[in-house]
Amino acid sequence: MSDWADSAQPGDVYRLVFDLTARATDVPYESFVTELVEAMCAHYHASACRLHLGHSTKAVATADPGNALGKLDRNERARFDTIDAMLADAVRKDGVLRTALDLDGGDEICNYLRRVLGSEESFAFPLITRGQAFGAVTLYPTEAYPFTEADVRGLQAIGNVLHAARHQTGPGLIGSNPIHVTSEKLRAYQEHLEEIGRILDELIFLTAARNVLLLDVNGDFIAKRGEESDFSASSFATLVASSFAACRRLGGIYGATDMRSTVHEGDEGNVFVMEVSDRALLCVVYGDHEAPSLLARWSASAANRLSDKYESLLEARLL
Amino acid sequence: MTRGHGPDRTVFYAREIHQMNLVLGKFLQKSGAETVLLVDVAGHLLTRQGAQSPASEDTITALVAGNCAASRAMATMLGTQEFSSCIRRGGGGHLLLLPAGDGMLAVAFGDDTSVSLVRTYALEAVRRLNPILTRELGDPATGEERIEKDRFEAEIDDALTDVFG
Repeated sequence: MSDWADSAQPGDVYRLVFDLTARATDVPYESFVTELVEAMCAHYHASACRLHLGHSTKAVATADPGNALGKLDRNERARFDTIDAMLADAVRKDGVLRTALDLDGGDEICNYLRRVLGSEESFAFPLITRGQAFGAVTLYPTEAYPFTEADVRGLQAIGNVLHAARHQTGPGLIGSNPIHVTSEKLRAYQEHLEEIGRILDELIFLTAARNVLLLDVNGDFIAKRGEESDFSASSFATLVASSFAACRRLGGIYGATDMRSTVHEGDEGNVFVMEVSDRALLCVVYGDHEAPSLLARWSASAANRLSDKYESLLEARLL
Repeated sequence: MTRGHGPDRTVFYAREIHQMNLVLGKFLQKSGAETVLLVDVAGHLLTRQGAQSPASEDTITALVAGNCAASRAMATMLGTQEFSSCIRRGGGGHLLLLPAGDGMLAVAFGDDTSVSLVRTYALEAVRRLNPILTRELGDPATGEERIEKDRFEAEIDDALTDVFG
């Protein structure tokens, strides 16, 4: 195993996923899938990486940084495409990580991939959202990489982002049927709320949370996204704000000067609360999450973006 | 004996407080936490073990009770039983709040011990505290105690050793 592989930490994959998904909403879908496979190639020192979505045997994006695939002749390329499609198909069927050794004739396939791509091991990750595999990422690393549970969990988190981007049900829901208002002040207010709504939509798709709420630090409800719930959002907002205020004061007593978040953990659900610009609270209600630390980082990223919007609402004297 | 002022305040006897202290002392010893406070639902301090708190304990217990009430109501709304809260404190470490009986257990600990380790020991301590808090062992005032003091100490010591090693 190389020095690089020895030094690889489980948390590294979360940074990769975070960096990728943080850009998911800023670039066109086609560019995002290309960036995804290129970033994975670079992270895992792979000679090739491909993304498969749906049941198509053809990859939607391919990264080939050393032009190893480009140098293959027609027959070799066809053979590689077949192996790649078989790997993707295997993980789509049962939704678990697979290697080339799991395929029929695994030893022969591994020898072939080692010869043409210099790949020590070949992996295929399932992309899962809402409990179903809808695609796969195939990876051909040139060095043996110590894949951990964190790698599998982190990479599966990408599934939510791709699923949302592919089905076009994510950001922009509010703006799909806007109500035209005549007042300039109301129009500005509407625009800011639409922006806030988009950020909340993006966060809920990234985290697969049940609900995301934005509320004033005094407990006044501002916006909510996610599942329909039985409880009153404004009552819940009041409780979140009072709990956060008590927690912040307790943290202050014990010396915390920059306490920005708290987490409440229960059997059936969890609540992550993060401060936004000293004036608002971002509240994420979620069930079992594969990577809570990733959820915290996504929430922090959303809180920073919301902070800008909130400041502009205050500057415009709209709040 | 701790006497209550309001009709809803539970009265605990010295023997019960001693039993709680035994459980909490063992918890501190095993988990490596700095301080543990047991607070009732109204914000009264039942007992404390470990280092002195950095501020007035009345303030701390009132805040713990406030958080307890809010998080319990949030948990009910979400259909879950109870919430435990974890707060990052200054200079490293955390403050962990766990429901215990009608009240709450507040544990302060440094970065030298992990949240999950403290949570595991704290949950076991809460399990041991619940029979005392709910008087399942009998009301000392009515003489219906089923376990004698010396025997209780020995039994709880053995039981905690079994669990914590």
